[in-house]
Amino acid sequence: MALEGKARAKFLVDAERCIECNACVTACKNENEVPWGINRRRVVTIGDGKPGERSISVACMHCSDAPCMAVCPVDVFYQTEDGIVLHSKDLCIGCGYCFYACPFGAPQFPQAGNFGSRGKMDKCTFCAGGPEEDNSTAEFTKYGRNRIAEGKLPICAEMCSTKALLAGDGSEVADIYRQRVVSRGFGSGAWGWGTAYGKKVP
Amino acid sequence: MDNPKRENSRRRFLQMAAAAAPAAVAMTVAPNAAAEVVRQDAPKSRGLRDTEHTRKYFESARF
Repeated sequence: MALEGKARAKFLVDAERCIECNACVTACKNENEVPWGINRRRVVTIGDGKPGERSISVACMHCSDAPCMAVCPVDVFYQTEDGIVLHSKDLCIGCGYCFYACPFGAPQFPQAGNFGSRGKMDKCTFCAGGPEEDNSTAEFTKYGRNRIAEGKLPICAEMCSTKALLAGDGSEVADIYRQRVVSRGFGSGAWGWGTAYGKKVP
Repeated sequence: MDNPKRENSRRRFLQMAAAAAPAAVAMTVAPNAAAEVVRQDAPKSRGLRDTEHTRKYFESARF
């Protein structure tokens, strides 16, 4: 059943659950056959090796009011009716403005260099492909797999073993996270194997 | 009344018209109905969909 624009595609990372396994990064690279040197997704760890360290998986967060869209001089970006931020590699001039504007460092370029010599920008597509025909060879070559057209969700979230990374309709994702917070309480002290794997939240 | 031959032909014409009209309507409506069914089955949006796959994913995340 199509949600017909009623959904709002969102990622959410539960920092209490991320174990820094990098499976999301690997799954993304494998599923989309991302070129060497480009990481659409990466895991960032804060306070690595110290008590209370936290890891989060970061990629394009598909901002509702995306700054990359605002700064792009050639208007390559567009938002689907579900809020997924996509772009056209045919139009990209590789200026890098989007990279500087993005608070998550999501836009990636195949080459290092000055204006115009970086190549076409590449970023997470929420596994929704690009402007080409759904699941066509051209779409896969430029943007990777279009799992959304297949009625699926981003591979990174589906592969996450602890389900720290959630993806899908924002209201559904927020509801899952809310249930987790209610179950484990505020802060990491209330979290444990029992609450994570022992019982389901009613 | 005074011309039975003309009367018969008129009746035959009316009978044929009565039989042909529903068939003609069916012929014109049927392709549209089929197209309507196809259109309903095909995803109207390229965006997120509520499928068995996504439901299983959300269920797996609720722990």
